[in-house]
Amino acid sequence: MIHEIQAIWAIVRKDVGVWARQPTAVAATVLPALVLIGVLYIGAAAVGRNPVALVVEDNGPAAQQLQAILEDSDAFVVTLASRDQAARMLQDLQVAAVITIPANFDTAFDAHQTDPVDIQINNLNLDFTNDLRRSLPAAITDFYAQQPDNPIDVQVRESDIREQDVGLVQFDLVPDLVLLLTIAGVVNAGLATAREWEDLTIKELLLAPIGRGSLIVGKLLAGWLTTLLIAALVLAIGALTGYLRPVGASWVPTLLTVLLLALASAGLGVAIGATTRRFQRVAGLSIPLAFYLFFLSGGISVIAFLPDWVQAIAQFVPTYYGMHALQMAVFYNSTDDLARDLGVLAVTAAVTLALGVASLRRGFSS
Amino acid sequence: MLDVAYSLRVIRAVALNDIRSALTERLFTSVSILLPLNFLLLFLLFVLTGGQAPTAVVMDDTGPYAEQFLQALQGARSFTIVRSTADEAQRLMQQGRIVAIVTVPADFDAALQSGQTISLPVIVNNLNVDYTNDIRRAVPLAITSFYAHAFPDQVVVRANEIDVHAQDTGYIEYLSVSIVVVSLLVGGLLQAGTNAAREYETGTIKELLLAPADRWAIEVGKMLGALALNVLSAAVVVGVVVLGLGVRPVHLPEMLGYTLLVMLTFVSLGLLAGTLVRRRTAVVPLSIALSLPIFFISGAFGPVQWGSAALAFISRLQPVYYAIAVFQYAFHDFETTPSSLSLNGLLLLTFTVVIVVASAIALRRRGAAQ
Repeated sequence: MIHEIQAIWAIVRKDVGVWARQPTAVAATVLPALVLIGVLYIGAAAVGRNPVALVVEDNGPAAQQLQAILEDSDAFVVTLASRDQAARMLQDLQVAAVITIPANFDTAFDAHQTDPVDIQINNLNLDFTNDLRRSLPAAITDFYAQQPDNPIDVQVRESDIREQDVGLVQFDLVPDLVLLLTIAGVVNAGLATAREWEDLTIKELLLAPIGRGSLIVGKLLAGWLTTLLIAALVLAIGALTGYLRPVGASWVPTLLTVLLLALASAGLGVAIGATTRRFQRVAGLSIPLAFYLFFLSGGISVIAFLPDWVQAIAQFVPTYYGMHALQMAVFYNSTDDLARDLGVLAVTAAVTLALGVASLRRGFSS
Repeated sequence: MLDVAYSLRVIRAVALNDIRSALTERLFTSVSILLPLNFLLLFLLFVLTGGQAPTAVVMDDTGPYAEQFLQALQGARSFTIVRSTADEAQRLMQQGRIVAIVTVPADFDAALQSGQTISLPVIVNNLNVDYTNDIRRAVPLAITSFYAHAFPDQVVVRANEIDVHAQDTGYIEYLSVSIVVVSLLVGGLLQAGTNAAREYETGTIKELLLAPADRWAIEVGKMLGALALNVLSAAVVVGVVVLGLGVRPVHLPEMLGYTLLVMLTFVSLGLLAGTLVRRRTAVVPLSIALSLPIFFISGAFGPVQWGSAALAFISRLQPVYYAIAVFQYAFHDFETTPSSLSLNGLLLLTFTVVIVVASAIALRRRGAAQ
């Protein structure tokens, strides 16, 4: 028993040492997710706010009131401009739309006559276009709400599920963490396992007086440790900046999920490495697989909002359960379905471990 | 003349050698040809929701005004509406399947007719600020639209929309063109990067560098080899977008020309990456994984000028930004950059030349070290 533990420890030390001595390999696994987080952080500031040029041709009080509402709106980044300047800005793509408060705005408003506010939209993409289509009527509603004789009797009474809005960066950090864990686990463990065949050291390992299970466990633990090092880095940065900070006891399910997700990813990597036995094949299979897992777990969308057939596929994707457990713990402070989620991740790790051992058996016979 | 003929033979030999080497690794080559298609399919999953927030509407009143208000919600181009009971709506909310619950109260019609204030309860799952803001803006939009139809004399201030383009372009139609570019990026980086790195891993770089061949000829041969392999994946991706999704290019000749130019740019980038990194195990993860963030910052979802100024600045420093711009023009006749189309094409060409020069320099330095 002690002999087996020593063998496992030796394999772990060797694999972690090799990994640490290859900065390109470390960079290849860490850099993409970190760059993605950086991009999301910078980009999140602009989400939902469209740049518009505002042309105000009326100096009346109602026009000024609407202008103030538009300038304060969190839907627009407003630049005041003349009609010509605004047209040029739209042409040069400096703004997505031009809003014009016409010269007779106050007169028409006071006379209860139709009083159109023009919005000229560069409608090249429905996402931006619909944002703009929503935002001006929302501002007009605010405008009416400020009138002493507001004719709109329907008032929105909003109640939010959580005390504070969850920002886009905060929301996206969970899928990013899952992507990072999956890529790091699958790629590092897969390459470390395939390396034994590429360097022909698998012969020594298989002829050594240790069980094949110990060999696979050693590989798995090494992949797990390197993945956890990266996870620890992201969790520490997330907690320090406040972007990924579970509340109180929610740290426990968060850490458990991260541990099991990293284990399942490393297990998958070991299984792929032991089956394919070549760097190229590991790289060619494991990275697309990691991306499939990421997307099908709701990596860049909310899986519950996607069509039923996508949701049905997601039920068979292990990282979906990891993502769910993390979102529940971090955003909902909840352990809803935690046992199910952790169970799926644990079973995935066990199955991949068995696959790795089975692949080694094939290697031994050949 | 003899030198030119010899260089051409070198180019041909290097290109053929790379193609043959790639074909011996069937699994990897198949994956690298199909991977760009995978990118396309996976990204399309993202837009299947069409940016519409799933919302439950509980109709406690079914009078004519209440029904008219429901129609206004449906016409707000913001919601995927599920009409449900209060209990069912709560269950959907707890399962995280909807973003909001809008309840039309039982006295909606009666209160409107008697001029009383109506409180419209809207419960929001404020988890994802993108959807949350949509709800906060779209419900007032629906209210204003409802009033504009039901009480045209009372609500006189209206938004009068004037569109720059005759037709709206759907999110899938727009994004799929951008995804073609990222697919070409992945394909070019993978093919050229692994071809270059393979020479170092197998040690054949020594023979190449010791051969009496011009470094330029070697570089061009490698580019052509990767280009030939990349044509397959490009054809598959463009074929799916044009024939499968029905996104027809407005300017077909330009589309073909830009595809070739963009492939050249990305293949040269792959060549540089492979020469610098020298290990396929590093080239492959970097190629695939870095493509994702680059895709996000390059104006794939719309003109980058409409977003963060920092991202707009960064995105102009790399070729994917210009590649997306020329493709959006070729497919939709859109201008998505302040720079002109011809300048975008010229910049792509300049990027290609600069990257090839950098690759040749890197090859020379690596060669000396080797």
